[in-house]
Amino acid sequence: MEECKKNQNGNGKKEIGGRNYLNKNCWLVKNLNYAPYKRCQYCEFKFHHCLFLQYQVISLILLALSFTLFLIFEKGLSTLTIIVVFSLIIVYGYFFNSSTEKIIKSNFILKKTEDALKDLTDNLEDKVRDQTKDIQEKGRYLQELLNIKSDFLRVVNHQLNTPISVVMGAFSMMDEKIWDPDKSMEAIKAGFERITQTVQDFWDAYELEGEKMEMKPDQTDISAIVKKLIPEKQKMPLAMQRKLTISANKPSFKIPIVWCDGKKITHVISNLLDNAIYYTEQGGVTVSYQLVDGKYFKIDITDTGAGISAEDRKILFQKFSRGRGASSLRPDGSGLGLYISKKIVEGNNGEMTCTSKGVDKGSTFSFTVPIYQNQQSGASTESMIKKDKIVIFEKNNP
Amino acid sequence: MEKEITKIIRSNKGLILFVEDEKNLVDIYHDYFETNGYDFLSTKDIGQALQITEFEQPDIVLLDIIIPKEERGIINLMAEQGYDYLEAVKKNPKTKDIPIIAFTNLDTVQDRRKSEAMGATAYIFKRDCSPKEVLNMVAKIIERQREKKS
Repeated sequence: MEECKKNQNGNGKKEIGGRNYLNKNCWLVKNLNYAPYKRCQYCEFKFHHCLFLQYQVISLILLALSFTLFLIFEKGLSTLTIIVVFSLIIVYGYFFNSSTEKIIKSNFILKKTEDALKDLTDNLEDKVRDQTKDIQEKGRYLQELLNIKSDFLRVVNHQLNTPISVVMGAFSMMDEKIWDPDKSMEAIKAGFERITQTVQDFWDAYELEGEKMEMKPDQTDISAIVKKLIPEKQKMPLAMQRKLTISANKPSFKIPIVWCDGKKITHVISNLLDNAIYYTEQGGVTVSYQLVDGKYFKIDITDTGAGISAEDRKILFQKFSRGRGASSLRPDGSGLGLYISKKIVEGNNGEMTCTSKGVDKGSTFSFTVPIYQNQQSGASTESMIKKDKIVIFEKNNP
Repeated sequence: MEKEITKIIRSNKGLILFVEDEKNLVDIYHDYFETNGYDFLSTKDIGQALQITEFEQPDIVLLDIIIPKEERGIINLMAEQGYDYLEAVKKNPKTKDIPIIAFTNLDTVQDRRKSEAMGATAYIFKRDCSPKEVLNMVAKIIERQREKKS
């Protein structure tokens, strides 16, 4: 048994056809512990099936028979007869020996070829099956992509046609003097703003999906961006109408310079402030800052608005989704704002999260950006941060 | 809206139900139809729309197809709730004869065929129709419907 294992494991040398092969089926080879003839290394037969053994037995019978015949008919054995008989047996034996060698060897080669062929056929079937499966999977994947693409176009089509029909309708109302120009202009303006935003959103989403959006990180002062955005947001009609307070908390630490694409991050903060304003009917919106591990700067945008259920938080950053009740508060969003913001933050090696104590209890949208490290050059800072695990914040989670 | 639902006195021009989620469009069509002497009700809630259809028996329904719907906490912006409404109206013997115009911002052959197959009287691509054209079509259909009845 052990020998058998060795045969299999030994790197081919102890296998049939190899130099060190011993036919364990053969009583003779087994007892001798070596192969007496070259052909034995190709043989798997038992000893009593050995062709050469059979020849030897037949030779002995023929020898006995011929001597007996000579004794009967010639009444004796001449030296010549003995020489002739032995010579015949030797010559016959020589040829038989070499042909046996050939027979066994070719038998072995045939068997080996058959095995290889069988192996190949089996493998080929497996390979074909695997590749067919692979092709089918790829086909399904492509079909899925095509479906997503046509769905996407359907959404684009609808989301753009809607504000266009509002604009056209408002023009008609003005034209037919049902609405005064001021009222029409208001609707037209809102319609165009929505068209612009939707086109921008879809383009951003398209670029982000294909990872085509290029981030141009630089040393950025987030607090300056916030300071610039707050007065703009305070002037929003909705914020004025609801008398919302929009402010930034001054932190106890020195606000660090961060490493990110300032323009894109401005878009993120603006989007988060817009959302906070839209979903807050009374109270206000506060921007506050935190430091995380001395490596990241965290920006929290907290509102006193509609809040978000735990269930909604899971789907918040998906495309074309909005939280519960959101459609009644802000029916004209493209459904892409948060998705785009999250992608931008991630593109700047940060993380975006949302926490809320529940429905009607306000919510906090937070994101992180890496702090600019003085001693490092821009490129190496970026690569260093990429390797780091981004921390996930759940501190404010109820 | 509640106030409008309970409106009892009707003009003879006809009562229009507008099933639509886009507030600006509702404003436009509401003012347009009322200025032209029609009664006008609107809602974006399919359940409410079905109730109005059954109890108020509008002369015609302008039906938006894509109406956002909440599904397991997610607002599906492209929910085709209009088709759900259409199916329910055509199933109900009390409402099945009310003409319905599919009034949508999707202009695809599939949507046109689907609306037709489900029993919509007409299909209007919102973007390309002015309120005037919509009103003309509505007036024509109401007239035809009234002739049929008498």
